[in-house]
Amino acid sequence: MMNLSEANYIVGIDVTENEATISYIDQKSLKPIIYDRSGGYGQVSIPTVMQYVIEEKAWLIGEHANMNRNVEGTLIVDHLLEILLNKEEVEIGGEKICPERLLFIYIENILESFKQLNPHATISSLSLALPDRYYHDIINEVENGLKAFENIKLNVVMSSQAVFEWLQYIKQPFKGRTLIFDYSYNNFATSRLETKDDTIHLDLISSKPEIAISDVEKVFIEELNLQYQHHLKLQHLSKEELLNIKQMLIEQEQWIFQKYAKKQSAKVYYSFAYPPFQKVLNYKRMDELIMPFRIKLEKFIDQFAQFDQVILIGKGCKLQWPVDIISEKMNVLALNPYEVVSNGCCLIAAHHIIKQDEIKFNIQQKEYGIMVEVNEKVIFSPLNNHANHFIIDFEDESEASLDIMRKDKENNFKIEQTISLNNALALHNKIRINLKLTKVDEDTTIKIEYLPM
Amino acid sequence: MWEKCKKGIKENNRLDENWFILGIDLGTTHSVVSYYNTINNRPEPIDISQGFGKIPMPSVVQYRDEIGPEWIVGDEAYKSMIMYPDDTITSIKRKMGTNEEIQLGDKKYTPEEISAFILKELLQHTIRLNPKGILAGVVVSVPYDFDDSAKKATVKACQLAGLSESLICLIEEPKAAALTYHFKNTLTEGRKIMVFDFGGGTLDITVFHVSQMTSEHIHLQVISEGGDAYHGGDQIDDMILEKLYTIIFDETGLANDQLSKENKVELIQTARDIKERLSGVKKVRVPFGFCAVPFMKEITRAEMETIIEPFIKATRQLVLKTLAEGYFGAIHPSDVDIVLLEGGSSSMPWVKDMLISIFNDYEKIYSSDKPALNISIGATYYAAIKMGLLEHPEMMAIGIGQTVNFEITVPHDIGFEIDYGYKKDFHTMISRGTPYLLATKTQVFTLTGDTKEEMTNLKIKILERMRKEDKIEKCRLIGEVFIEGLPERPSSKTKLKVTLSVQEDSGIVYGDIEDLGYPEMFEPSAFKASFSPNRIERTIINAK
Repeated sequence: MMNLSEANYIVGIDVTENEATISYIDQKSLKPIIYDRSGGYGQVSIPTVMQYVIEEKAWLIGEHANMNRNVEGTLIVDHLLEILLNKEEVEIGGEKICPERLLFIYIENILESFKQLNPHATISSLSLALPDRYYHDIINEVENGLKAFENIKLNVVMSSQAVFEWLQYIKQPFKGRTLIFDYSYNNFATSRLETKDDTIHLDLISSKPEIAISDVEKVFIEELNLQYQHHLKLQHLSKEELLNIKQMLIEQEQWIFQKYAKKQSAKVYYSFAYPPFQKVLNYKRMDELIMPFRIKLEKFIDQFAQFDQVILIGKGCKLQWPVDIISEKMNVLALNPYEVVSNGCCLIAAHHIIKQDEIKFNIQQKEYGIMVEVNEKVIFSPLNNHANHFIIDFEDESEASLDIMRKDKENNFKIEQTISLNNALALHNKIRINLKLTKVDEDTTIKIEYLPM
Repeated sequence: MWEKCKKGIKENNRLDENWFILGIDLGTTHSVVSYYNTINNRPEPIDISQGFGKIPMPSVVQYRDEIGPEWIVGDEAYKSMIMYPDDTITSIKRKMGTNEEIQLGDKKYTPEEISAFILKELLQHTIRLNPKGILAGVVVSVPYDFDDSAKKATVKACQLAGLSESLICLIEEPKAAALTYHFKNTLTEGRKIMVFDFGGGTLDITVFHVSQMTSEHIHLQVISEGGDAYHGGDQIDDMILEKLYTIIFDETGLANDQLSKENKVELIQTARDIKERLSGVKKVRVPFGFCAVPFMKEITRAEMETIIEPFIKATRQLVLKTLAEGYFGAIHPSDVDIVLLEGGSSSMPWVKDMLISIFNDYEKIYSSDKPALNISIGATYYAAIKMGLLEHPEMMAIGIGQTVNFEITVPHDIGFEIDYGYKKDFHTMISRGTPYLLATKTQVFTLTGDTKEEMTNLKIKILERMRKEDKIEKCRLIGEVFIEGLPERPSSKTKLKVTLSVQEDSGIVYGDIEDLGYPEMFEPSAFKASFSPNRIERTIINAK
């Protein structure tokens, strides 16, 4: 390995929907180290939240921005990836800030914090990993945002690429067909990797948002709300109480789920109440709450039984029960789910000093979309893996159908699926719909959500 | 046990996979346990949250007796302390070495008994890593400023947690931090590094010097130590708490003795929260929700720093003192190459500002990457050094090509109280800065007096002088030893040899006494005894 100078850092950042995890290599370490900005207190990931403090004309990111929510004179910017996806601009003091600039500020703040470790710190190379399902939708914005970093070698990769890099480094390359389950806050996404002719073929094949952590949390929050309401004999809960209970779950979910993993009941402390009190969340009830998610998850992974192994990444792996279910049914590679992507990403950034075999990646991209009319021209409008809102004009007909098209690498179009639409909610012969794209292996499922006009 | 395992390692060229060597940071607010990972040859902190990534465990112990007696330790105890304000114990480390007893339920507990619960909890997490594991050695860190009594209490706590004395070794926290720094960074010969370890309860400052460095060997020498065992983030919390009481009084007329226990606990947690948040932001809005008419109050970082200004000044003085009292002479700030910030409280912005004002160079101030973990990691490195693990090239941590010789020194003067009749004085036997290997000193006493009692008895008071300028009254008692029944001889015709030594493994003072008789007049009697002085109970030795 070539030497780095003492103050030089190579950085990999895994950016997900809710948080970012950072790994780095410096002169002394020979492998990526997780950057724990909490100083060893275990908050290895930082929220993808930014806050503009108006008076100071300064930005805070991560945990400091999160802690400072609702403080007067500040503006919160949540969920950076979604902002990039929706190409939202944020207005600060009359000035519109584009999502690329927001990303730059967020990453710049992270890189600046290395000066705490070494006042002379310089970053020579940086890689960003994006969730597979976001990659194509926001790669341009991300690359544009990072261009502003001068004298830093830059890379943007999919999280699956980072995983594979790490596997290669720890000399555990996968064989055969491998799945990556990315269990994030808002989704449970699946990517498939397969080696053919020295090339890794990577394909985003499905996503299942209904079993994401946010849904599990919602169910538990409702339960705690009921417990609280019942204990205090309240008719309804105030906004503040609801917020407090949500915050309480976030603080206590660690041992609640640990107790669940041990098949024990958990005590929940309503410390914010006056007077404070505790309630027991018994194991049986927790199991009842989680059971629908367990069933959905089991059913979902049953279809992947033929795969040789599975790699788990994402915050959802902390809940333990999903890991247990998957481990029972599949061969799970023993990797740290919270570190593997950022570590692999860091290795990609370190390619010039840590030599690994060059990997050829072929990212399979089946693009789905519909044909839309724009300025009297019919063009292909791709669907992304998230919300896709359209207005359909029935043109006085009572029924309509919508062709979902598939575009391949050669720009050839093929009808993948035809969906019938009804005009029950039509206003002036027009309806508004949201097309939710779910890919399951070779099949595409489109769910239609009718929205009010 | 150390020697047995060391021998095993030498013979087999490896550490048995079922042997654990541990480093424990038994902190005031948080405790951490690390083990030496024989696969990648380096210390690793143990995740006590089983996958949630939380390593430091709050040093909080709680007793409940709702459905039978139950002890809760760690995070859950901390989060629920508002529910059990009378039965939750925090910062027990501050009471180590004292006679204070803590009432919990219908029983009283000593500080070491409470600490033992914390240690037991940490050890349980270790066993989970390998149920077949055997403890081969444990190093526990103590603050630089811990006196002999507090160190003994720490050893006792370890024993109560189930560790045999032969397994236990103590290391001062700044030395542990220095060791971690060495293994994580590139050092060059001649470099001087100050480790500023600012935790919840204590401030420990060490300056160490890379006195020798070759491709095979590195010698680290401690050249000054300082700090205060009662100077930490907790004090800042207390000062902010006082301010919160004032705010409540000004706003509502409620004095703090009119607040409920739960309200007070909430305010304690709020004070800590304010301190932590103001490390990252410049102002916070604090809710006072429990007041009859709830209100919010804004507190800025500047206001907080004004509230704690006396504390900041005192911290600065401690740094300057450490520099002034180097073992080999005063150390000029410009001679220090790097100042490394350790400890959870060192992230407060004023700490860096204060250090920059002393060293005049912001580029010398480095923050540790994991200040919460480095003491435990360093303690584990020390255990590895003691075990001889870092002498075998095959077993050395990756990237470390040298054997490490770390010179451990006595942190405070140890001596006797000499009573001249008209005044008392401190007579130094072992000076601060003496390497432990040399920390043995002998003094010969000649018994004089008029009465038989004076000629057959001797009272020795062994003291620890924490600061150079401390007068005899401020010196801390290590223990009193009373020897009775010595051979009856005329005045000035009995010589007694008293030897004091400081044990390297624990930093605890031990002694020996021997009757030398009197040259050419009285043969020495058979009297010889060893003693371990104890602050609480006088040691009585009968020479007959």
